[in-house]
Amino acid sequence: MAKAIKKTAAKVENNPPTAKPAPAPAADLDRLIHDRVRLGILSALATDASLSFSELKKVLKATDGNLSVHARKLEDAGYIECRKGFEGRTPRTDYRLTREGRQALEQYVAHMEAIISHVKGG
Amino acid sequence: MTDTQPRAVPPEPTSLHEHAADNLRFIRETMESTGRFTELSGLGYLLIGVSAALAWLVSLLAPEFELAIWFAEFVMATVLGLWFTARKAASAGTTLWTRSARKLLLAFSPPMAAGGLLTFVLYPTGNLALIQGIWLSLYGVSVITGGLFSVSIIPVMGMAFMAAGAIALLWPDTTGWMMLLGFGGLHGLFGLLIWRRYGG
Repeated sequence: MAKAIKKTAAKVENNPPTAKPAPAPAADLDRLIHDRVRLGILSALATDASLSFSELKKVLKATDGNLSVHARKLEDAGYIECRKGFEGRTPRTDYRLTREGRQALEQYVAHMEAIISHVKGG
Repeated sequence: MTDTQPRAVPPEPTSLHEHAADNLRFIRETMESTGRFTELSGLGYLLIGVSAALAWLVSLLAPEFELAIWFAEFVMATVLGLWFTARKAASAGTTLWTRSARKLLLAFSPPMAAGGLLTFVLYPTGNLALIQGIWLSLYGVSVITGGLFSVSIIPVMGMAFMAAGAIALLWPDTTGWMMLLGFGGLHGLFGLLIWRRYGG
């Protein structure tokens, strides 16, 4: 999936669409992951990695409060799973993408591709 | 999109596609910022497995040249791996010289260099089974350490190589089969898995 995402983004950067714009499909857009922070959480976890709260915070440059609110929403939707533990005496929270989360991200990417190809083909 | 949901439609369709492109760019950059190189080629690994199986067959036919045959296979595998990974990276709009790719290479290289040194030192002993057991083990270490900067299936492959190396070192009679199972079988198997899940 990483390939598909990067390939599409690369194509768009190299060949900006010039065709006449047309309405794009958006009715089935997953609003939950359309938010930048939530999209960032899923993208970071899509490399198949288990990332800690502080690693995610660093990657997304988000504040503690902002990240925990958005992570909780994704967790409630079943898109990510959270595991709490200790590293020595320090509490540690690790996040991992679930199968549903991966599917949601793939659908979102497919949706973005559809919008772009619709405009290009229009 | 229907008229009952006017707020979901941006005023200009052009900005909609720009927004979509921007979202895809954001996803790609976020994935890269986790420091993992995701462009290792499944097809490349699969072909390395095939070429290693061929090298194993040739070494059975000409055992006096076994070390040279495996050295040629090492060169072939390096070329195949680099070529297909560069191809996959290029199709994704990136290169082999990203920060995450450099970290992967840096982590992968030291055990490989140690393997080369041990081969050089042990060659005069003529103990090829020992040398090949070391190859399997140290290649496994390289794959594990390099794989920490890639997708999580790569370190699993490294562990499987280490297990094959341990068997070859503990029971030298099995070394030939472990070379086939490791460099041929594990590359082929994990190549297929990577191809299927992460692309060719």
